[in-house]
Amino acid sequence: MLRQFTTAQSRRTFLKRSSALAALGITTSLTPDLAFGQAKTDLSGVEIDYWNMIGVQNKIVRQISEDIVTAFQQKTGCKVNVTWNGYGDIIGPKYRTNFTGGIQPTVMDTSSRWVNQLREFLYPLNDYINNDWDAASRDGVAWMVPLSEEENRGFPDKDQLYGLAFNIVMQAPYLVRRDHFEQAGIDFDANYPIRDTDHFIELCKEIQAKAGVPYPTEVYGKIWDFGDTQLNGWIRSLSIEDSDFLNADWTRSNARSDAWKQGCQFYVDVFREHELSSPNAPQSTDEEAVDQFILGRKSIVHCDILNRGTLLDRIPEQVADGTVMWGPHFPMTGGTSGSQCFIGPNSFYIVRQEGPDAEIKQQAAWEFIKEWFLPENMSAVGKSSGLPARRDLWDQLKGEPDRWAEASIATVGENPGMWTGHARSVDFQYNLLAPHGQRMLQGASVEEELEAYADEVDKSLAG
Amino acid sequence: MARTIDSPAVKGRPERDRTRRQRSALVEDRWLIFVFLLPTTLFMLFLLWLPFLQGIWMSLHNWPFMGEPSWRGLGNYRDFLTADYFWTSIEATLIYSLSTLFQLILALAAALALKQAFVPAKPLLRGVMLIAYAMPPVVVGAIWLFLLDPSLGMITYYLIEFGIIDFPIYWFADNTWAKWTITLVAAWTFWPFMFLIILSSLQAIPQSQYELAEVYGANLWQRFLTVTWPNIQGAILVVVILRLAFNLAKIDQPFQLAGGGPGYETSVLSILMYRFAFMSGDFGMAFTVGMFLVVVTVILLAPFAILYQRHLRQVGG
Repeated sequence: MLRQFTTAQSRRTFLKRSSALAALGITTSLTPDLAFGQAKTDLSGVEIDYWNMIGVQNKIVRQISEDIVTAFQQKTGCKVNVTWNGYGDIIGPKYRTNFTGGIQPTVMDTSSRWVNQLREFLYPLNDYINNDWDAASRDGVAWMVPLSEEENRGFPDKDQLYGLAFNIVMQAPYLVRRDHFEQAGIDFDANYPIRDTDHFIELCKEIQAKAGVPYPTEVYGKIWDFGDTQLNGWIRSLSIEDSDFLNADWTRSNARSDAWKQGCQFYVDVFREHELSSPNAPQSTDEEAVDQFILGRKSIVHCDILNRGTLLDRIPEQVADGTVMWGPHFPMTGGTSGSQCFIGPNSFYIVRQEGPDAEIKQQAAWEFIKEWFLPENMSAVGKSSGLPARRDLWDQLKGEPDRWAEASIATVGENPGMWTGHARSVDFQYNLLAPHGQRMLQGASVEEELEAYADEVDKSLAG
Repeated sequence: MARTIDSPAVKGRPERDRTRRQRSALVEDRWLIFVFLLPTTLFMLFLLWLPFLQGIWMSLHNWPFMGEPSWRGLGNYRDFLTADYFWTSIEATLIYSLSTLFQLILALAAALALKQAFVPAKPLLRGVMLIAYAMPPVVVGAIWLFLLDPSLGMITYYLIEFGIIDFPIYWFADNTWAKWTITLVAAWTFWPFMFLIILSSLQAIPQSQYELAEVYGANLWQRFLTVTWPNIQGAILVVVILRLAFNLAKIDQPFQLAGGGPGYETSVLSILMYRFAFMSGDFGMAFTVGMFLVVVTVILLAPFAILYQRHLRQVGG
């Protein structure tokens, strides 16, 4: 079941790979000295299983993941068996089924809001973080601690840190094509970044009329994107308290609130009233929109920062010359809450081990996590997959022509929301919401669909 | 008086022995039959009937994936029957089941065509026709997703090129198109299975029957009705029953194409069951939907099963 990760790599392969990453300004802890040198921390004889999920996002992150694993093995002598997974594996049945069947990793990374279905299997990291970590790293991620408590606020042990946020996926900055602005005769510098939703509509309409782009933006109806991209930030800009899927104590849905109604109505209007999104909106995804954006058929699309790897891979010149740029998410017009972002970190977890070698395996897993949190590794992943959780590293990421770091940092702002980590959050955020969202996009009453969705969530919470 | 072999007492002994031997052989045969049936019976019992009965039991509970089940009685059934997606899902299931009919039409037409003497390169054509079935349904689904893509797909391109449509059709974003598209893609994917069975059945028809029909002056249509149809009727009923059952249980391809949406428009019962079981972790509701799927399957299969029984009686099976 577990796929062995091979450690064998020639100097030639290494140099080829590292120069490719270096060309993108990405370097990791896998230096030639380490890769071909002697072990520095002795974990020889220890074997851990690592389930990687972050590598699914793009080829660059996958390559960086491989390098970090290799570096760790070289440094410590610990053998790391890697299994490559996708998001569907934890959203779907694979992780749940495997965990309950006793097939578990020692350490894994995944999106934190989906992991609480496995909470009983996880090992708290508080001791390691407080007593076995350098101060710079600990201070760098300290800002995430209250957010983690917010995420897990419904659990009695919410103060236990089962996961350690590694990189921050914020929902959602947007990609913008400077060339489309120019074709439409719009002064880019005067109109970047976008101020609010009125400004957004105005720009899209001008581009549609003058640059000949039929659908300059896209709203997403597909199950994984409707309640996961730009919509929630718009709702949050109207009301922080009502913006999450569940209320503060996880007893009912927030979807009956005015903020949800206004946010969803605007989302639908982008498609139905303003006709700025393609007719595929009820089934579209941000990946498809990015694809269209790359082909020059879209002008402003909201998407995960994780898509940066795709851009670097497919249109590196346009990223480098600033034709394609990232912008920070903007509030609804009149939205004064001061925040328009939810974050969903990718975090590391240690799975509670059994047996005589449990302690050493858990320790090895922690050492492995520390390897990932080295500044060079965090920055390397960040450059293609989202901000590093260590805030002290943010400044050094700024200055790229596509302004990804500036846009990401501005999107996160000072008061980002954290998606609820309820054990059934996959249901609340995707399975239950998306069908109603798709109906809204097809013309059903926003208010009635939200009411029906809220009823389903409430029933699920009560059951 | 000495007994002779003709005496009734002596005469009856071999007869009794024979009867005893026959009985003994019969008992042995019966035991052998039981021995042969045992693995299948145990298989059916433990892997079909017990899980099925457990499914009924679970459908009467609130049964989370990793949590304690609690009794709900008929609550899950009431919730499902009153859910706004209930009829949508039933309608989607019925439409999707029509793919069996489309498969039959395609398969019958292709098999009859390949039976004709004038058709060249039959082995090659047979191979070509099996391609769709030889590929995993998910691969076929991916190909169709590309073909139907409104921006890049060949189908959209040629429909516009030939002036059939003015604007691209967003096949999976429209309720009606989505339902019929998943149905037609399923028909295209699975028709070769029917084709294979019907073709082999056609090839088994003795040529003399056609020659006799020709002697009596039967035209093409009459030869089909009097010779071909009676000979392939049984095979058709079998493949219809099999494919109908398989189609109703299909999840991967329709889910890949439309994700059960928009809304619940393409959420056939099997997809709904999957969503409850593996996305929501709600096994109580999943098995409730499963029970409805069983009922729908039985209702749809029953006429064909009855026809097949009649057919067997007619041919003395």
